[in-house]
Amino acid sequence: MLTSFVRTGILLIIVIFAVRIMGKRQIGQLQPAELVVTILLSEIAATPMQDNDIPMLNTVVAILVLVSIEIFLSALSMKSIRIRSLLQGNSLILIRNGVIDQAQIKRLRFTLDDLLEALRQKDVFNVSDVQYAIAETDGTLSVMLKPEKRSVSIEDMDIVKEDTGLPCVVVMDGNIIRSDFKDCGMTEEKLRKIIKNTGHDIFDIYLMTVDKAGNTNTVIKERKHD
Amino acid sequence: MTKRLVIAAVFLSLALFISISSYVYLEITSEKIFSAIDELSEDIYEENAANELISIWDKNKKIYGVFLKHADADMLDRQFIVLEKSILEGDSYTALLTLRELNAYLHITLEGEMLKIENIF
Repeated sequence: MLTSFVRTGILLIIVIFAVRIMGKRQIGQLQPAELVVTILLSEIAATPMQDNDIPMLNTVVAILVLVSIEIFLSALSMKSIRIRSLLQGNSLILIRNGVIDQAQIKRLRFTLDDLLEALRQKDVFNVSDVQYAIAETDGTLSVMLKPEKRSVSIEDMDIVKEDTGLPCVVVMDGNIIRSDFKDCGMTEEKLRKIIKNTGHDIFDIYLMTVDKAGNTNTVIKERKHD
Repeated sequence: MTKRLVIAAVFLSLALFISISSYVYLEITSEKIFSAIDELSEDIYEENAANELISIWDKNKKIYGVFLKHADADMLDRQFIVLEKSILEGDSYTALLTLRELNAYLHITLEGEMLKIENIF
């Protein structure tokens, strides 16, 4: 039993490390090759966790080979369009100017229900509102609405809005986070001044964000009630 | 991407190194074991005849356990214990029988580890 405990711990660390090495793309948008590798990884690691009879070295070798081949394949597909389309497939246009391309739907073995459901998930309830609907290689549907159906943007209304940038987390749970200082033009001296102005001690601050324009948002820690 | 490619190359080399070294290790030690078995088959009635074979196994059994299925390594270990015991007790019939069984079992186990078309498919 103790062996299983140790083996599981080691394998878990190896698998987490392997998935991290393969890159963030793994988690969000799985391409066919990545999906296969991810399923295989979990399967390969799970069996020796339960079965102590299987040498762990066999599993480690299999994981190393899988991860390295996956990285090589993704590097190859970055270099060559042909390999990319072979490994990942191509995105296909399913709706053009409100007209469903039935041949493509059949080719993808999509049902009309699948298509309508994917459109509804994009807040589109009428096929005729769609200018283009594209089936992406990771199985998701991208939708571009007809110009008259799109939401009005700030640009459309000729409004000039200041770019405040991304709010940076500068204090988290009473600790100063210096890693984003550069992105929001912050210095420690400036931050301490802002904190002083809030009338709180730094240890009382649960979260503080600052954007490029200097707008701050402060969340104070809740006191425990006995 | 270059950094990732380097890591991938290191991983692949490591996997290749582990695979090849286990293959070479099993090949070399099994050769030693088989020749010791052959020698022992001729002098099975002599006292301490199995010493060489047993010492080769004792030196390598832990590494066999790393490379082979643990059940196979345990089975081989059990056979060696029976062999040692039967030689000590002077039971040459059981010793010879165990030696033959051991030889066959080791052959079958190592055959499964070798890089052969029938093993791949």
